[in-house]
Amino acid sequence: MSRALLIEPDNANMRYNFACTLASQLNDPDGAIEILGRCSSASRSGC
Amino acid sequence: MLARLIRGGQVDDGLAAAERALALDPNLAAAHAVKARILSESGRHEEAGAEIEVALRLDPESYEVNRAAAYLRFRQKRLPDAVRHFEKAQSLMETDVSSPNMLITCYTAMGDRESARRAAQITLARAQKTLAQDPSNGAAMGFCCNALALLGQAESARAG
Repeated sequence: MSRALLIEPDNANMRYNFACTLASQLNDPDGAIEILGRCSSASRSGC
Repeated sequence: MLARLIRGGQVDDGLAAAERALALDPNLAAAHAVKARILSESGRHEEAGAEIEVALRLDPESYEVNRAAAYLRFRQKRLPDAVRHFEKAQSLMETDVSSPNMLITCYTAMGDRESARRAAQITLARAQKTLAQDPSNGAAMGFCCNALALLGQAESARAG
């Protein structure tokens, strides 16, 4: 995830998918919210 | 949605082009599939379903037709039908990574853990093959992460 997000930080679809994976497979809801929060910030800046 | 082209402020989602193609040849299965995909993305599932029925009758072995059918049934929450078409699509195109990735979601939602793992192994193998040729392919990395997470390799998923 770290490497993919480094390469495509503004890929909202990827962030959403990672958030789902973190929440449902890796039992990390906080990590999921963090990833979605960054996506939301990026969207506000027009990505 | 991603296929939409914005030209001069007008959104051209490809529907007009598909309809022009079908006016020339109504037996083009791929054109019916494109039309179905666009209608489905707009929530017009009933019309999309009619297009898919025609497309499948014309060419049941088409990758494009099976992909469009799979996504339509997925959106309609008809998961067993979606699975059937995603399985067919992944068998028809061995470089297709997104179909096995979608199968992970479908099988997990259906409670079929064993099939989900099998889909994850296919996703991982295909995504790694893509990355071997294109190491900076972010989408392929994403598929790897999701597959690794399902296969219980959490640390690899977080790092990859």
